[in-house]
Amino acid sequence: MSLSQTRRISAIDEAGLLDRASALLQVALEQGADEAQVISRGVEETKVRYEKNDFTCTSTNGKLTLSLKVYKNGKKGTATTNELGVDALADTARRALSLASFSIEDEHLSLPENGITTEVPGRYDSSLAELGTDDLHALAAEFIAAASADPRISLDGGQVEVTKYCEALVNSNGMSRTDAVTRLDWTVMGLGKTETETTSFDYLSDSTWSLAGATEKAKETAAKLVSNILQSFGPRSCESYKGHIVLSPAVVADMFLGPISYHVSGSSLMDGKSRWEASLGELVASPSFTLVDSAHNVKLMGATPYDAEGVATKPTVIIEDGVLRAHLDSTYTASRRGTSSTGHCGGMHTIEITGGDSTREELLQSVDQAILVERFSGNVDPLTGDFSGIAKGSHFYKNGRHQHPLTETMIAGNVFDLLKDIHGISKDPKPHCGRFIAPWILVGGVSVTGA
Amino acid sequence: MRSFLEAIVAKQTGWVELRYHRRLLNDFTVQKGRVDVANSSVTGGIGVRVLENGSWGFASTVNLSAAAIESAIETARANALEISKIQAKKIPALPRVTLGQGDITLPGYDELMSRPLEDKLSAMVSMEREAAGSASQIHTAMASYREIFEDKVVVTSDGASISQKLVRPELRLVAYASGDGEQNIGHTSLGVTGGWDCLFNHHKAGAIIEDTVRSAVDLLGAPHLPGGKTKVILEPSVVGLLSHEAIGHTVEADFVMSGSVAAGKIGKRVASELVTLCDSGAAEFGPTPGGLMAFDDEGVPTENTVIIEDGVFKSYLHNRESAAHFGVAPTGNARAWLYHDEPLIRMRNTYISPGTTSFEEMVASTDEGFLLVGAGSGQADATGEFMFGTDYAVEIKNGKLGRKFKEATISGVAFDVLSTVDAVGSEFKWDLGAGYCGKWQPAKVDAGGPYVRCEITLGGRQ
Repeated sequence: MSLSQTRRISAIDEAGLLDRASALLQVALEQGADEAQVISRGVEETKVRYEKNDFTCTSTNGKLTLSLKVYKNGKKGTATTNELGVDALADTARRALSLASFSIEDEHLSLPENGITTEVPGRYDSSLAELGTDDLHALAAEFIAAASADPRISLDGGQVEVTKYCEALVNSNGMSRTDAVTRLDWTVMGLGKTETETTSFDYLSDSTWSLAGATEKAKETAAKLVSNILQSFGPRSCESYKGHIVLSPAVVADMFLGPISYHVSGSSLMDGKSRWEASLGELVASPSFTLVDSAHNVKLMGATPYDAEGVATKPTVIIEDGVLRAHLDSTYTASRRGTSSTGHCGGMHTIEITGGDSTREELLQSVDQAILVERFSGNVDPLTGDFSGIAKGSHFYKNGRHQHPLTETMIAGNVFDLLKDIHGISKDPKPHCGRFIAPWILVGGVSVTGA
Repeated sequence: MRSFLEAIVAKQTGWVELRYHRRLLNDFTVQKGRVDVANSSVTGGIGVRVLENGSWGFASTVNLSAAAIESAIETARANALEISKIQAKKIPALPRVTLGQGDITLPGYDELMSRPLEDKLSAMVSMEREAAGSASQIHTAMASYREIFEDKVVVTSDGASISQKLVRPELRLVAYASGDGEQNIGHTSLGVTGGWDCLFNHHKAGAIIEDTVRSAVDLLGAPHLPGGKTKVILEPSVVGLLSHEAIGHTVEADFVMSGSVAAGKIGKRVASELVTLCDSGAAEFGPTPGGLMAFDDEGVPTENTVIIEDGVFKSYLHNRESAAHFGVAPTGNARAWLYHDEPLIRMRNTYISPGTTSFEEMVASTDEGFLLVGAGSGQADATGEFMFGTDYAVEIKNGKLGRKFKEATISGVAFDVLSTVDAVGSEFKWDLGAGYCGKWQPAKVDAGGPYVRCEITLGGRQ
């Protein structure tokens, strides 16, 4: 089946998006904006959905978005449109300027100057961009077959999606950027079911920029899901205790990244919300803990040459051997704080937590008892660091030996206390969900509540 | 637009659904005297769904010309034919059901559209300023307002032809307090389907600043909840979240067909006889809930679906396909977030019906336990195990309310918890605030109920 029949509902390319962005920038300036920035994004996507243990629908979407930010007399307004009509550009500029007209003056509003960015290759694959629907279905069928490998597995949902993104960013300081990426994303959610038992569900997802090796990588995700579910039959709760737990890479990310990114962000710092305002150079975590925003690591899907306002990104060590090394700023927060942008408008890009020197099994064997938390279904307050929720897909260990899977077991504590109470880090950090790389981490001081 | 889409559908063969959706979203955020967000966003397009060769195919386009829409129909058909090659069970033709026809604009749309944006921003500026200055411990306040105008047209080849306009305004106030080296947040959110006055007639609107600031300040230095299973009184927002997370998700028919714990429960006792639990597209017991709608995104008129009646399981939530599978009428639960999203089975306004016990009687007859206040985010499992956060708890001892405890996450198994219900209050409130539900795509929902007393596990500190 030809691509034109299946994917190209609205053709997009970088040159066309740059033209559209430049045209809207011009209209905004003609209508009176002092400064303006336009981001034009085009998306072509085809996704195959799986539900109720069967394929259910294939959908194809073409999307186009123009986002305008204007500054007028020191006031800000933004407007977005995906309409294609002849009046759409003028209407978008009018709406943004109208909002700016009654906003509040802010002397720190300014757009970044044009600068040099570093190319981040390896994020665009023409074979993925041109992938036909029949090939996508074949890949999805292999993925789902692998996830259904055991008759006890029931798949509630799954999705395989191929996407081509193009983007152009221009501003009135002469900045002009274009970028294009392709990606293949897959997700699967399932549970175990026998005549007598239904397990908790589990879900996994992953992504890649290119077609090469994608099927094998997707099948690895499927196999991991099957393994997780089959190990979760026959769960029991455990006695309540306060002590050690081992966090999986997924849980490390779910628990740690929100509070850490909150307290190193320029917006929290400028508003007095950060607990780490005066902590640069100080120990904020165990000396074994190092966290880096690698920014250009294409093993992770956040890799990007520039941030949400076009400022060049670069690798940034945030916490090194437990010591806080960086605060993260956009142009605006930097102006407020008297610093320089670090290329973090929109937040961190690709997060890596450095591995330690133990295996996961050695971590479990190093304490009298612990629960191995595979997934965290709960809430983390980024301001205080307090967390509380269910330890999903988890297992109880005593004297380093597996006892049983867990159900109805809750964990609670404080992330900032945990950061300083790290007893071991595994030596094999793993990419997870395409968003971050993290190891297994043994922490203490966690309240574990059994049923 | 409706007649335009009707003309395109009339030329097609086979089952075709065209859904035009234009969303205008305006939002403001004010913090520390700054306007952090002043935004207006327009998103529109046509979603096309076909049922071809026993398979669904979907495509969407931002181009509203007849030629582009017809091209999208062809793409959707090609998708359906292609997926039918790997789809094991073919979908039978959809049976004829009652489908909506006509144009409807829900109350508040025109009024809110004509109200100047400047006035709405000004209200947020005043609210933020007042909150920030209302207690010495408050170092930052944030007020935000969002309004979502939805214009939808659904036309199908088997008779649906509806146009529906509605607006959903939301308001959030957050206060950050600090003292003795500790920080804490108080927050309140409101969300309705209706106009400005509906938002400000919300039961929480009158004291929004006072309640938000007090919540932030009072919890400074408050202890954490002890963990364990205990008797609790859930306030209406928490009852709503329990109804949504613990029961609502497990009774969505697509989830049932995948093996959720609700499978096979029709006609069986699953809860205390005090419990009647429903999901409705209308405003039951209280005005302007956030998930109000006259038709769903398949053009099916919405209804009040009784899921559990006096403790006995009665119905799942359906779209047209699942209703046909189970041999029942669709319940009007097919919803899509944007034009490029396929309609999925989603909740609307989920609630427990009021009973006869007053809040005061409920507290007075509780020897020991906690009152849980403020709904946070949550998640449900296929087993019925659920968890969700609450803002804070108030200790109950010997029938009297006492000191406050910091936020806690609560957990339980849905039908087990409902079986422990021993009192249902007489006062009803919609109270999910500015809450959204996530299931592949977002959906604006509401939930509520009366005060309810039951047993639940608190994920507190040991």
